[in-house]
Amino acid sequence: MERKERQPYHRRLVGLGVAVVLIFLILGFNLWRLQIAKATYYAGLAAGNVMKNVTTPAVRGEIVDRNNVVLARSIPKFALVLDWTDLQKVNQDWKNVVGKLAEYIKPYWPNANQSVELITEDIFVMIRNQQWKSYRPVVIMEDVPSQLQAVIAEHSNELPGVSIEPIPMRVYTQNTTLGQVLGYVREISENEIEQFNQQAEAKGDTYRYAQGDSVGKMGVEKSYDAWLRGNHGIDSVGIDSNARPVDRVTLQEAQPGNTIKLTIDSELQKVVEQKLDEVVKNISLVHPDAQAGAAIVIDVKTGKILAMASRPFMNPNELIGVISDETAQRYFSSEDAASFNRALTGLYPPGSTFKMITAMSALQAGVITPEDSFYDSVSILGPQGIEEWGGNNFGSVNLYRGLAKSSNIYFQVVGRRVFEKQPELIRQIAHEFGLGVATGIDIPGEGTGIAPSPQWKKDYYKPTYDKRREDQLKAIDQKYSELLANTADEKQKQNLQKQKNNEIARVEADYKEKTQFYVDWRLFDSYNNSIGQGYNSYSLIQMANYVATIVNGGKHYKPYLVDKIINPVTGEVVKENQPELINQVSVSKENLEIVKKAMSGVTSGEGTANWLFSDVPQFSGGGKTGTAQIGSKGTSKGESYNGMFVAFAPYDDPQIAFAGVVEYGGHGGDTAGLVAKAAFIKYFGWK
Amino acid sequence: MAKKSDRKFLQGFDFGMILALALLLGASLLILSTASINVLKSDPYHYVKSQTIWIITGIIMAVVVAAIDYEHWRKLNWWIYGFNILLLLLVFFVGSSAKGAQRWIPITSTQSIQPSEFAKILLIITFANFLSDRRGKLNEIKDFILPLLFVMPPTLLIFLQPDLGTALVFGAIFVGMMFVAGANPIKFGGIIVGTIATTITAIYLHIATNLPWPLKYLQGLPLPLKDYQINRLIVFIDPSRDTSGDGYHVMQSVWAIGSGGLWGKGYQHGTQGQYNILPEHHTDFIFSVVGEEFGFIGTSILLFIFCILLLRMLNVAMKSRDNFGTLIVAGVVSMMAFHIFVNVGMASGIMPVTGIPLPFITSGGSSMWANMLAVGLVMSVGLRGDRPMF
Repeated sequence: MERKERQPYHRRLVGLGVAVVLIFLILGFNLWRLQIAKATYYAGLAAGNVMKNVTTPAVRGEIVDRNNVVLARSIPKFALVLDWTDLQKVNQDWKNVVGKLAEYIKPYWPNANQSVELITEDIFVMIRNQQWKSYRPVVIMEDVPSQLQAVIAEHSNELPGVSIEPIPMRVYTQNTTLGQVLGYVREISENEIEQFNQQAEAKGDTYRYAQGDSVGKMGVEKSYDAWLRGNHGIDSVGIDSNARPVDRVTLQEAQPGNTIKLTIDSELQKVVEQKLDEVVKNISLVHPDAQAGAAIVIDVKTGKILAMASRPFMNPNELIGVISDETAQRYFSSEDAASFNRALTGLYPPGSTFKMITAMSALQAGVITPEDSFYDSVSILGPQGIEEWGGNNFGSVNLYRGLAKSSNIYFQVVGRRVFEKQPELIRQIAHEFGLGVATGIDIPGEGTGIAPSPQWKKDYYKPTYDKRREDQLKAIDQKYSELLANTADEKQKQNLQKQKNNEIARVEADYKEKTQFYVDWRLFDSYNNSIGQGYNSYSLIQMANYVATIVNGGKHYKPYLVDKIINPVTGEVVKENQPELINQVSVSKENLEIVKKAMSGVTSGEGTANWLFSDVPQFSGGGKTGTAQIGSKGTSKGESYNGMFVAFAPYDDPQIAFAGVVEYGGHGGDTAGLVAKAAFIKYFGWK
Repeated sequence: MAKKSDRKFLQGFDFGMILALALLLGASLLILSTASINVLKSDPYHYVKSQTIWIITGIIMAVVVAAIDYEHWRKLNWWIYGFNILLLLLVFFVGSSAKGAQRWIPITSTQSIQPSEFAKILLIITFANFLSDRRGKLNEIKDFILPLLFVMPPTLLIFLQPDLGTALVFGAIFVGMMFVAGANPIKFGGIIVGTIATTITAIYLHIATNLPWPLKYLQGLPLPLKDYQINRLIVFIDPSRDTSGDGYHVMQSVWAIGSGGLWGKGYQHGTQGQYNILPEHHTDFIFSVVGEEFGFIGTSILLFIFCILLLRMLNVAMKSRDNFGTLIVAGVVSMMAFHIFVNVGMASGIMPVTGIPLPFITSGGSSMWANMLAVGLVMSVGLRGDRPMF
């Protein structure tokens, strides 16, 4: 070809070349705009697309006894989890995916006879129940067996949004041992959030509770939740278009919760529980009502609780996960509800175990000396006096013999003297020993009880009768002002006025009578309260601590259950509870010694529990039986008694104190006393 | 045809072009090894393996075509034209459909070819022959009619498959070759601009609502386009109108490219592609993976190599011994430039979604073979042309 002819072609080719370069410049400029100028903007968009932050659950701390025996721990279990929001995003037919999932899990479903359709329906219900917190995946199955894990992994392509995730589960390794004290863990309810946030704040924790958190619902799990909980970690997870996590970066490591070391000795606890169970079972053959009881062992020098048992026992494992109606009934609504901690929340009339308070008050008030004795006859009490148990007559009684024989008449006499001389003294002394005041123990739910006195009785009941009188008078006034207004006749008016005055007089008489009986302190009240009946009611933990305070030289300590809080990673002690002296009692050392000596007479010589330790020669110490009169179940006949027993050992330099009760158990020594004996033998290692 | 010595023969061998091509083929395997790794779980390198086969067979095809003097095709001109029409008709009878379009002819149970890819090459050859003796005869508007009638039958058949993207490629080939063949720039350019303007107006009228009088009588103007094609155009105009279909794809593609930044997220470390957020990331949207994982550096280098390839091809066209050869190369350059522009433009959000592949990079046998055949033709022209000018 001649160059001349082709020249215009060349120009056009150059033109095409320019167009090509132009195209590349346009593309290049646009890429510069996206990748250089707005790179950060798009990086953010792309990151938000695939990375989402998920919280990783912290492993809840262990609860161990004083010898590091594990009572509660969290172990990872594999749960089948469905992230249904992601599932819906990627799959239009997400309901079919659920159907397919149901098919695979059918052989492993707890209810074996359920059809695939019903399982599918169940899963839909689970999803629906969780809709209000839809950002969280739904747990379809806890504790997935390994065969099912393999099946799910194999079919993962058909099951978008379905994954097997390790989630920590609470396990109470000793089952019923210490159940009510440990408590249990469940999902936080909306009205608890504030309460738990306050707990965290008090600890100086920035953590704030939210829906979906698991928290302690009672016992140590509840009161130490902020320590046990640990802190959630945060993972940034890359999600592919099948909603399956493909990449995971830990932004914040989950912090395991602290280990809580209790003051409890789980071996001692077991012995106490076993014995309590045995005793209640035996006594229930005689008294069918006898089903419940409680016992406490406390270290007298510190207030550390060594054992705290309450029958019927509670197995916290049964309160994790799905609870059947039967279980719920047994634990929460039956008459002898097993979740009720009788050693902590139950309030019992102390019966004769109260007599040491009466004795110490009398000694302090100077109305007797320990040796002052008189003849044991109900006649010296007058008509309101209460007879000896079983109509006994113990002859000549002083303080020692009176306590050893549990003489009602002796303590009524001295109690009357105290009430006459210093009406408020018995209540004051009782309070000094912690009776009728909250102990401040470090688990929730303790009962407070009542230590009565004339002033207390007046404060407690007078407002009721005053109000009643006032209302009645007001009604009369209203009634007659209307009648008088409608009557013109002078004579009739006078009649009405007379009638009105009569009615007022009747109300006043009634008020006076009621006041004398229910508001004013009567001699009968003095007698009744001196022997631990009447208005007296105390928690078992108060009873144990009261005995401890008598024998430790009058130091009233705050009882507590948690010894140390330990960082599980470093082993460092984060917090240590120290014995806390609440007050030194006003009772003199000499008088404390006298009562202590008198208590030793109960478990020896002619004492009411002299037989109890007869086969344990190592025993030295003391106790007091109580057979507190209560209404029998369903009736108010005065034939039923709670068996109450308190004790300490050894006599010289006492170490531990005991308080126990068997509801409807009759005599305290025969029932709770046996539990005390078993506890002492175990604690001191006697054979 | 005069015989040349071997040494002289190889002088027509454009090493720059071959080097650029080799780099692109290497890049293709590298890019596919990250872009397609999560597509087939059973065999992460399935697409790399098959692409390797396409490349090797493609090179053989290119060498064979390069060895044959392109002058031979001139003699077979009408046979080729007829074969082209037949091939495109065949799709309607034995074709299998994908995404609402009949584009594929099955070869074996698992393999099929896409005749429209080859139709482009056949059109270039026949149209180059058609235009080669029309030098100086394309000055009047009426002169444009015959060339238009020439390309119309195959283009219409493609359009009816329907494959709007490839039909537009035919349009680009037509425009590019007409321009190089000497069409009066003002008159031809005017018609092209007018056609584009009319098309856009028609689409606007088709989708518009609430137009004022008297335009409202033209509202909903019927168009010979399928719903999904119209939807793609709507989405291009306003991506927010559809976030799950094409608009979503384009949005995710732009995010992928933009998030790559200067250096990219690294080989196999992109999230959009690797997490499957980005659809078709080993085919139509493969450029997004380049942008995401290799950054602006990667996209610039890739586009630079493409640019060099096309400019070297234009150099071949310059030294072609005849108009036929020049026009063949011009057709190939127009075709590839349009492919690159539309594909990269689509991935970076400045072009509507048309689903046409990125030459040499996108996974696929038909596309690879067609492009290698095109390269073979360009080499054939080069080997028989004048000594290199540059």
